[in-house]
Amino acid sequence: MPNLVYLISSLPSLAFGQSPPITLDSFHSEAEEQLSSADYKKLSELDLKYISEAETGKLKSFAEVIKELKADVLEIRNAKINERSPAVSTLPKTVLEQNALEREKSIMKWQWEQLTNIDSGEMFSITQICVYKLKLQILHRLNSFSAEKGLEILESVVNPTIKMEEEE
Amino acid sequence: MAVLKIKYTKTERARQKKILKVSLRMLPLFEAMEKSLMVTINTIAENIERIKEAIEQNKKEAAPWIAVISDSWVDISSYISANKIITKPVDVAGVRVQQFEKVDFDVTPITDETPLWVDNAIELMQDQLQLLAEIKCLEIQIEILEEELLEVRARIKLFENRRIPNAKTAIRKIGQKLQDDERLMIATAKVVKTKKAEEVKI
Repeated sequence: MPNLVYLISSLPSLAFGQSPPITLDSFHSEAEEQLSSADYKKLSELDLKYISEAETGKLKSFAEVIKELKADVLEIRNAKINERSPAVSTLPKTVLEQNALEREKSIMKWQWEQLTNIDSGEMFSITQICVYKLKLQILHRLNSFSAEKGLEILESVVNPTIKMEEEE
Repeated sequence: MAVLKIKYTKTERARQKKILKVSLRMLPLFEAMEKSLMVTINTIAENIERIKEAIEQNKKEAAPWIAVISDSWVDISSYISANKIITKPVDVAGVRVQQFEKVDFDVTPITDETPLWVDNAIELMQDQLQLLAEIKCLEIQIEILEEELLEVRARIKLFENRRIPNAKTAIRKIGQKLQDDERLMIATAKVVKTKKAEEVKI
């Protein structure tokens, strides 16, 4: 417990939209030093991208809302295919009007808020550390969005050498 | 300039007249072909410009959200790639070229984990890849048509500067030579006749 208190106290605070104050590697090495091997194993295996309902405690409820989010995303995709208005249940309806970047940011903000809800009321628990990691992942992902890099990637994908073939 | 070697015979004159007749008939055809090729090349070049504008327009429309493509969670290049460009042979201005039909894409199926923006990015990339492939086909068409245009121009030059003038010169020279020969023959015959008449008098 004292180590957990020390770890939580030593971590810089996080705010949505800011540049990540620490790297995920530094966070992991800090956590590895302070946590028990079982807690560290749980933390290192946790990944926002692949979070599943196999999580326990409050993280399980977070995994459940992520599942609902995925159902909404599927509904948006199906609605587009069938040329109808999507009926989302979890995501705010405003995301439907946004462009791809704004929509992704809104989804991430929504995830952030869900994590903040989980975090509230927690005092120096492993859940708090897990939430911190998930939020840090959101910040790193958000920070990876760059118009310049995006354009570079677009150009590299659309300018390959393609062979030509006569239609049979 | 090479000296024109001419056989001063009636047969040669007939042959040169035939060459002139054919050349005068062929020249307008080649000139029409040159014009048609030039118009076609210009039209294709305009199409290329139009497609380039469409590419820029797509980029402009995607600019507000292009940043999301650099998402560290997604390697978008693993979702879409162009396998090959499908073309079909067509005749443009009498020249066989390959016309763009479509691009054969390799698209990785989207899963529940795939962020929503990937759909937009795939659509954009498919559009851009199709447009760029179309440009590539049109540029190849221009290359082929320009080669043909060079050949046609060389032929026009050949007809205008060599075949037609050479045939005209040959016909004129043969005509003169044949006339001269005829006059000489008549004059010689007259002299012979006069001499024979004088011999008879003596």
